[in-house]
Amino acid sequence: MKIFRWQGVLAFALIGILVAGFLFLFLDGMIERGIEEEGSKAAKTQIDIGSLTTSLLTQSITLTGIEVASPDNNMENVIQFDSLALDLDGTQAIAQKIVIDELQAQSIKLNQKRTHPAKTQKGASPTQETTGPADSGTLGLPDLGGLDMKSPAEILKSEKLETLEAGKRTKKIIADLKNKWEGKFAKDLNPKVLEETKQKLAELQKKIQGGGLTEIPQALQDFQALQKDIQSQVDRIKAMKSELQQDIQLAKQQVADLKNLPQKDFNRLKNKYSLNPEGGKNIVGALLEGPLKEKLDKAWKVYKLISPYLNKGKSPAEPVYVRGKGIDIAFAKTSPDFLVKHGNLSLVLFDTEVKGEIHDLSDNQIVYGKPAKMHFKSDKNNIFDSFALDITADKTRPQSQDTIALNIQGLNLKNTGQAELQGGSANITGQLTITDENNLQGDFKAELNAVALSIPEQKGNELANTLAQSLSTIDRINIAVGISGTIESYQFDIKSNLSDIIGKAVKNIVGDKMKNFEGDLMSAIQSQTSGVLSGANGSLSGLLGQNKILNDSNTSYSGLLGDAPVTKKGLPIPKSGLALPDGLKLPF
Amino acid sequence: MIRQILKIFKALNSNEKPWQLSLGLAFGGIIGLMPLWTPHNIALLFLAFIIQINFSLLLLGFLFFSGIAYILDPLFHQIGLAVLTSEGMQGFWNSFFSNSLFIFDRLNNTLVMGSLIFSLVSALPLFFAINLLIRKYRQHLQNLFEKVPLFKSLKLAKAFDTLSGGGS
Repeated sequence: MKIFRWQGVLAFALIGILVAGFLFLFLDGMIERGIEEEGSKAAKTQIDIGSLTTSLLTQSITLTGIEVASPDNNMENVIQFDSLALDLDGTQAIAQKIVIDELQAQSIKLNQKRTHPAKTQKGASPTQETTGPADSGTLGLPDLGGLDMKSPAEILKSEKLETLEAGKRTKKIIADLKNKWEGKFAKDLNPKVLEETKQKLAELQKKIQGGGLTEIPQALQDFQALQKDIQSQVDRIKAMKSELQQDIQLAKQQVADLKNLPQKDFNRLKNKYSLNPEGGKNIVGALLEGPLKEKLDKAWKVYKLISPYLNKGKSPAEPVYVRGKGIDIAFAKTSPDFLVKHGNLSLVLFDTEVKGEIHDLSDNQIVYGKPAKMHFKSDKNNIFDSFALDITADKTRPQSQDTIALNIQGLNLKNTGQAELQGGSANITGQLTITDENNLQGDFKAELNAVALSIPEQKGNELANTLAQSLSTIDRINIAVGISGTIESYQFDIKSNLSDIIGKAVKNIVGDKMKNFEGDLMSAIQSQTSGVLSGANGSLSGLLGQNKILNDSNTSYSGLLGDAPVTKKGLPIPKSGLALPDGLKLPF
Repeated sequence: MIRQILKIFKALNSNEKPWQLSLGLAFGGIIGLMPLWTPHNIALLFLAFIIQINFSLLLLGFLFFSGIAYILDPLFHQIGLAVLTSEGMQGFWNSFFSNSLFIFDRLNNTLVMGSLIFSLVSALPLFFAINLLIRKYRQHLQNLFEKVPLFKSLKLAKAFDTLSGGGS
């Protein structure tokens, strides 16, 4: 009997051909749907692909019309590509790795308006629907609406008052001190101990009055011991008193410091929100901070979304057992699971194309040993004289360091899409460093030359019109923006020569407004902080009350000491007189 | 369904060697116990195609052991996890999985490794036990079974099935 049936090979081959045929017909669609569905779930925002074509022979994939919706605005795309071609390393696919030897991304556009609203993904925060034009992502002066002063109530909603924080701290310190002393009193000034001592003293006095001569030496010893105890208790109370005084001093100092804090808060907020050009934060800061913050917050969202995928070496995902799937054990890796060796990019910025390259983009730089680098460069064209943007994501060490360096020379302001900018050019340089994917440190400078501003007149808005008039005379603007803090909480330090110019112009107009604003701000701060201040005072009174307990105890024990005086030779002299039996004299 | 049962009886009573039947069941068992779409399962299927084994029993084994695999899934995971994370074997696994082929085969997956070990260990006793049972059946029960009314009615049902258009 034959063991093998060779016709089985034919049957198997036939099944193989059928499967291959099925894949040939439907693989592209399956991958496309897979990316759209799984990618959208992972990114928590809709990802659309126009078409996808695979070629097993050349091991390549070409995608067109890729759109990634903004998680915050369902009518806007965070990024979109006209086409994306990937040349894959097929041999690496066997080891379940995606290695892209060469990538070609054409017409990358940022913050573009969508043609249809994106669906909200499961687990994503609700998106805001807007039909307005998408942000062009260009630079320029914001609306004059930025000069509207916030009301004190609005300011106090968004700002933390140092008085409140310090008040809470002070209250806690005083409460802790009070607890400490209550504990100490319960332990060291137990009223029972005082009563017992009094009783002992009375018993000893009785003993001497009613006892014989033989008991006197013993009574003498007992008196001496008791006197020692009382004396040590009095000494302890004195030491406690001194310590309590120190604590009370500390608490008093804290409360005294608190009283100055509302003024400090007022000065800080006045400088930040007042339109006074002499303040710590100038008008240009007030104008620019909002729009800059909005743009950066958007960028951080994208950054936070991407970062985990580029730093799997630092925090590998903890595998979770799922029935029917098991878990994949990761053994010592010698290469990353995802790698783009090289890519050519073309970014559309200010309606012009900027060519760029990407190198060594991997999901595990610790294993791969090279940081990811992206570089965009353009020579002179009708938008700018030169453009250079360098992005480095260095996660090769435990503490990652990502940097963005920008250098735009001769940016034609007329073509930036800002209606107010009628002409002029700008040089923008700067660098931002993000350490450990959280800590920000950056400085950017913009020098605008031969600026021609044209701000339309706003009826009934004296402030805006005065500003517009002042700005129309300016032809040179310098703006320096410093960024520091963390991604969650960062601050701007904005300086500009515009501050003085605009400041002078508005000084007269806003003078009265400022006075009212400052008065209202002070009242608002006082009403918010009065509770904390009176609370701290109340707590201090409670602590001072402890002093009385200590004084009372001291008096009681000192009184006892008076009740048990001892002669120079150590004989106790009871209060009621020396109670030795009649006719007897002590031998000393 | 009736046809499948009849096919099994037909196979049991046919001239096929007991090893062909028991190997079919053992192959079905291995394929059923392991996650279906793994390269070594496809290789096993290829072997099943070219070796003269009984396909009805392979199918039966596959269906039966797929159900068993669902129940034993946590056990397979534990076996795989224990083997793959064993302290003493880390050196071996690191060099073993430096070969991409084994990653491609998903042997680093706890379920694949656990079910592979379990199925390979249990396949041999299963093969011999089934082999012995078939021999015993043919020796003692085959003639007796042919006389059982149920078996006869199954044959009638098959005939009815064929006549009504559902038969092969």
